Amino acid sequence: MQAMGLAYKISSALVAGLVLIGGGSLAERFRSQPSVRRIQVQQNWALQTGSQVAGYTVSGGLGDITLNLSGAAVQMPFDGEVETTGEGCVLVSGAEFPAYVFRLCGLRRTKLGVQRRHRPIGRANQLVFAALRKQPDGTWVMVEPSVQMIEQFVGGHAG
Amino acid sequence: MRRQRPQQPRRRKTVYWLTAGWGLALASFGLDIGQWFHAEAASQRDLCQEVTQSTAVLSREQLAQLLAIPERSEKKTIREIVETPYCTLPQFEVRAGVPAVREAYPLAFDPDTWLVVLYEGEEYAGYGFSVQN
Repeated sequence: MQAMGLAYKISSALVAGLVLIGGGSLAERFRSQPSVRRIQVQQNWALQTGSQVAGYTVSGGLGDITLNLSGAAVQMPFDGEVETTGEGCVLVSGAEFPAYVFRLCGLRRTKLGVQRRHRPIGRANQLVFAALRKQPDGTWVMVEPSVQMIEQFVGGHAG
Repeated sequence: MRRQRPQQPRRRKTVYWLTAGWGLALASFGLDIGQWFHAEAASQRDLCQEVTQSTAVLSREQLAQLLAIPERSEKKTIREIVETPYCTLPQFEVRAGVPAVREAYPLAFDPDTWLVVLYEGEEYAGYGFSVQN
């Protein structure tokens, strides 16, 4: 009977432990709950990434750069946040790169929320990349990203 | 006495399973903690590349004035409010052909929070708040 008592004690402790660990992961999930962010791009072209033409979705517009990643991982270039645009793309931003937001379309298995530098944030066959710079009126203007900047997103696969 | 004997192996099995379960739980917990520390270390590594003025901090008044300045103003407008920064971040090209200079100031009233300012040439591009752990 003593052994059975011990077994019960151990099992209840185990359950408590698992509940604690599970609760911890759940709390983590809630803490970095994804937010939708919509920004106004200054170049108001009729056809933009996400627009529809004859029932088809435009996957890349003027100012976007498309990389053929063949399913490779895309990583966080700095500590920051990944937010969904609500239209299948994400916006990546971080305090170390003020005044800029990077729009990434074509990602799958996307990780939204607060992300640490070098963490994978998704995979892509065709990554559609755009760099946007903040304007004094609160809109964002598409700019030409440097090779160095894009390399930060696709990490070790560059070069 | 006869009844208790067959139960012995079962009890032992239960204890083995429980021990294995605990082992797994502890191992996964350990991994979680390890990852956390790793991430912390990674983030602290490289905000500053070069410390320029180790006593530089930003007061509430300076911060309020600085935030009121619109993006794309001249760099000197910012420098009239805040002088030498605590440090500079590694030089980086965000836009093709335009080197960005980034400078950081810890807040006097919240030293774990740093204001990062980005300049491109003589133009002020914007600010961000970086929380240091």
